[in-house]
Amino acid sequence: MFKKEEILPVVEAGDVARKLKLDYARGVKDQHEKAIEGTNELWERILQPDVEMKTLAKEACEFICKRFGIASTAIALRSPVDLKYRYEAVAGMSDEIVAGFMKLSYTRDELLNSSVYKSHEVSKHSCIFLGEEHPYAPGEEFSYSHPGLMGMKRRSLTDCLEADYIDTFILDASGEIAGYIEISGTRLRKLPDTTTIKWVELIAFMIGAALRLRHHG
Amino acid sequence: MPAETFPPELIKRRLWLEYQYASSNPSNPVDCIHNLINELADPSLELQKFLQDAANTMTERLCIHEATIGLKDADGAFRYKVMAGLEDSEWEAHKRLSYTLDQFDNQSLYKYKQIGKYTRLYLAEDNPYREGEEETYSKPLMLQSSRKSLEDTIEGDYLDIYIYGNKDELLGWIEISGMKNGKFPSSETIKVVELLASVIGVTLTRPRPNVA
Repeated sequence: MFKKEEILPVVEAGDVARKLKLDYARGVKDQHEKAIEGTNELWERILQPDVEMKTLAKEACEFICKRFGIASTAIALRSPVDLKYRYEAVAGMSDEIVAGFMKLSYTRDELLNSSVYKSHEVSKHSCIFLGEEHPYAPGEEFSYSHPGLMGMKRRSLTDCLEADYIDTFILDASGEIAGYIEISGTRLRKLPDTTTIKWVELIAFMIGAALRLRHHG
Repeated sequence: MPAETFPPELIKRRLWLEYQYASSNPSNPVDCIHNLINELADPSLELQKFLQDAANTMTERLCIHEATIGLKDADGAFRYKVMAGLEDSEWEAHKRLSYTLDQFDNQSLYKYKQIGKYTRLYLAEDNPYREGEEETYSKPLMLQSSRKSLEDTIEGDYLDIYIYGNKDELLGWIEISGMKNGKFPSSETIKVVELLASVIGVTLTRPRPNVA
């Protein structure tokens, strides 16, 4: 056992600990740190068994919109009853459009039908759907906040069109699609950057865990 | 002059390339740990390998000097499972140790300062080591070290970040020393490690065989 006086601190241990705690709690936070905090808070909510999936989905949608500047976010989950995918939560759209979303349902085959929903793979878990390729079935046009902008042209590689969106899959324990997170462009009318896509993939992963913890499906 | 049109394939290619580049050249926290999240998509993932990759990520990408991860075993005891950055002799000493849940909160054994909800700071001046742990750090180095600023770490300092599962069950912990530059981790780095602890917690909620 050593004696405390054998160490000759220039600074007090208590001051060291206080500074670290203060920096942690009240230091200037950049966007990355805020995203980390928000994701950790979402995980805390997931670990509370009395929080329902619908509530979690709504909170996740609102977090993605707020923290990453996404214009609209929706989460759809596979029903354990008929195995169809239905939207559980939507953020960033009017109540009227959200009501329309809630009426939609898709089978797995419809979800992955590339002749109707032509997509391009961004990563193992995310696909982008581009407005030029009309990635919507007849009757789904209501789901766009500004349908009058649908005919606009893309002026740069990073521009986002009204009908563009990105789907990130939520996987179950066996690797099957248990749902998806759908994000549109950013509020600046640009495509989400890859950092944002990766955050959404992380959140999709956590939603997958939430489903397992609640034995959903 | 007509607006230039961009083929969908070009838009996709740009996004795909940017995604791949960021994975190989991480510039922010989510890039640093995203490779781990990709591993988790594999239903046949080996937990031991995943934990080792997590420890390596902390030392290689987050520039933490030393990192260990411990989990709760089937008998309820908590033991170290993987490490990165430690001397072999120090790791051998770690592997011999086990802890009960009560010992984590025992301030008389391990005096700590709570930094955040998941994170505790242990400082060398408080001698946060019990009998039997003498070989897990370099005592001569600790005695020679002096802290010249509030940001400096010395031998014997460490932080514990807890891994929780369902219903606030403690499943394990991540233990890190300071950074490779001799400073304490920034609050952002601590929060990234907390995020990593959350990811490990998610992984542990999947039914798997026990880690050796």
